[in-house]
Amino acid sequence: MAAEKEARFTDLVASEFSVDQRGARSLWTPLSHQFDGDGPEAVREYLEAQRQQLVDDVKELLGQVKERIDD
Amino acid sequence: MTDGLRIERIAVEGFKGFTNAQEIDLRTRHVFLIGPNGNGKSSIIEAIRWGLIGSTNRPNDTVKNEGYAGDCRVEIDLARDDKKWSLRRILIPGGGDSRPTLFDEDGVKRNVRDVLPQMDSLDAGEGTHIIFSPQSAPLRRQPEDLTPFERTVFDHLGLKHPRAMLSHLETFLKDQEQAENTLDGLVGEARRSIDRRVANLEDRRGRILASPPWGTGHPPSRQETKRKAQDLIGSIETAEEDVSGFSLGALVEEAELALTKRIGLARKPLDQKLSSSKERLRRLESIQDAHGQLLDQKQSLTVARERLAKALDGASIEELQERVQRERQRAQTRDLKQRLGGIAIELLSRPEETATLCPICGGEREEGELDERLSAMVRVGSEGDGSGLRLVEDQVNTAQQVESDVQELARGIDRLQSEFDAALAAEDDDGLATAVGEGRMSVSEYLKSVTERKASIAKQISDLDDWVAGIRKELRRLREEADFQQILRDLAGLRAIDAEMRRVERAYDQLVAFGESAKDIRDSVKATLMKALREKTPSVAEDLTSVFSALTKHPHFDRLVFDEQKLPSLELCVASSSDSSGRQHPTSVLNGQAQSALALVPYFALSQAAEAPTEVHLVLLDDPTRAFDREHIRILIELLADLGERVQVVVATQETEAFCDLLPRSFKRESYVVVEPKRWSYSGGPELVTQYD
Repeated sequence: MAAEKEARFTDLVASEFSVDQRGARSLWTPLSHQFDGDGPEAVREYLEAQRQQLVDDVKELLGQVKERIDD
Repeated sequence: MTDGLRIERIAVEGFKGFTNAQEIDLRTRHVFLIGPNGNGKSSIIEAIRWGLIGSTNRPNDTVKNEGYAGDCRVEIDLARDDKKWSLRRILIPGGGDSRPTLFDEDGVKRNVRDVLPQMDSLDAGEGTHIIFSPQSAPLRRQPEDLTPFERTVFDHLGLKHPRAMLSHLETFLKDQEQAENTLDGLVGEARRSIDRRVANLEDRRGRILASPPWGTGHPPSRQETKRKAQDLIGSIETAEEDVSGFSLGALVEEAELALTKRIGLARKPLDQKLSSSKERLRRLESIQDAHGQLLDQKQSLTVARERLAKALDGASIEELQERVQRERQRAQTRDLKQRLGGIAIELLSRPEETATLCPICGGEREEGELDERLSAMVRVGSEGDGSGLRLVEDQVNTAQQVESDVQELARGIDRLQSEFDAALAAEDDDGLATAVGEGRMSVSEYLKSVTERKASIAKQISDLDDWVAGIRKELRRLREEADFQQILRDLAGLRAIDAEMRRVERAYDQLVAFGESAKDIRDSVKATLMKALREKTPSVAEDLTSVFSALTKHPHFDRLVFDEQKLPSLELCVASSSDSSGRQHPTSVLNGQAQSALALVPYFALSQAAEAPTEVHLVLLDDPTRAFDREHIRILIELLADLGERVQVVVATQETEAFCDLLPRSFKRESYVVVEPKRWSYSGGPELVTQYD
């Protein structure tokens, strides 16, 4: 049942929200709460964590580039 | 009434103005807290709220009565069907947190989440289950961007989560935009920096390739350039250093250093020698001038001596002076004769004188003879005019002057000779000066020797300069070639950085795509929410209108509608059934009493509330009759009686007289209780007096 819901959710998110299948699957865990009618906070926390990870990735890579430029 | 939990009793201790524990029996549907302001009515409302969900209209760390030594605690007995629980909340000392504990009717501790899962998950504020009307609007806590009214309506419509989701997404997207802008600036700056460096290096590489220092053919490899550098260093240094392990840059620097060192070693002594030769030459030229002057003076002396001999004409100066003396005596004699002859002629010319007597000697003479003799005397006097004397005197003067010149010249020659001898003696040049001094070498020959030596040194310097210029030229070519090699290396490094930068840009693009997905999700959630709101808000507006009309009986504005333009914000407008076009904001058209009534409308209209089963149905109203006249208080009490059929109602009011008068008319005796906090004191807190009838 859970797998079926996840698949349905993944298809929905991937088609509606321009998120690829992998991204949609990664959204499933937190959004499943919302999908069950519970936990917008969990969704927000998930999105913020995802964004923070992406921002950290950019900053880390950028830091490495700057370090090499300065060298 | 749905199967919600019912509050049967509340005990308050150490909370706000309370000290020792006091209890209120809440087994009736309605509880009215009456009495003047400041007696503790609002504290009871707050205690119920705090006991249930741990939230009040003030920070938790200020709810304790600091003048009371005991705990700050609220105990609430709950009942549903035939089951009972006791929920106890106590403020944890030293902090703002509180801890709820739940016991069943057997006194067994139970997990709150197991028994009251919905209430346990409530936000710190109003929820679906508890509708709370605060006494003072400014003290309302309004989390995020929703007003309490909106949250009540969204709860009622079952759209609490989508609305919260939309709110979170909006906040999230604002933060996302800010994060994107910040990183966009940083990423763009790094990209521009890399592109600038690449363009600069490619430009420099192009300029070198346009006029390559290695001449024609392919650019040399780095190893070839290093070999050139090593060869150049070898051609500069006399004692070669081992530079095999040097980098190209270090080799170029080493070549520069070697050249500088070589110049310092070779050029400085040559420069010093040249400078010394120039100085000596200047001195010798002075000596030569002095020598010339000496010769000139000697020549002048010879001429002067010849003039002197000529002036003396074989005599000495002393002899000439004697001749002058004699000439002077002769001149005096002639002068005397002339004067005598003149006197005699004058005397003879006088008539009384005898013409034949000589006036000089008195002798008689022939007249003609006398005239002739006297005239001869005069002639002799006139003939001796002194010119002979002057000639001799001139000769003497000339001789004396020439003699003086000769002596002066002789002294000058002595002085010049001394200076010349001293100058020569000062020179130390392997005996050449001595040879000059001793007359074995002429000054001119000596000068020629020194000049040749100077020219030789100058030639050495010139040769060295030419060699240095050649090496410098080679160095420039080498440096340019080394620059070229470095440019190639830097470009390779930048290409690697560029590849990393593309990873950064891809990561940034992922962030942007993530934001775009979030926007899509936001749009979808918003569309869903808007659709639901458009479907459901009209019926909510009808419910609100019904209560509003009953509470206010307003002569004109008898409708409440939601402003569709503001959705998903829920903004109420008042309108008139007789005028479908006019919608007004309540604060601009309603008086104070109608506005107070409007504030109560949602609690009456929406307390029928959720379709989903809920745990507690409770309405807490703190001073709901502000600005109400007696008639509207009566209407409110009637509505409260109706509301009590569905939920449990706790009302605090200072309209003691009106309520005590009107309550018996609308309520059965057993359906309500009146509690009056009395005899409040600082040390003892309020004393609660319950009136059951």
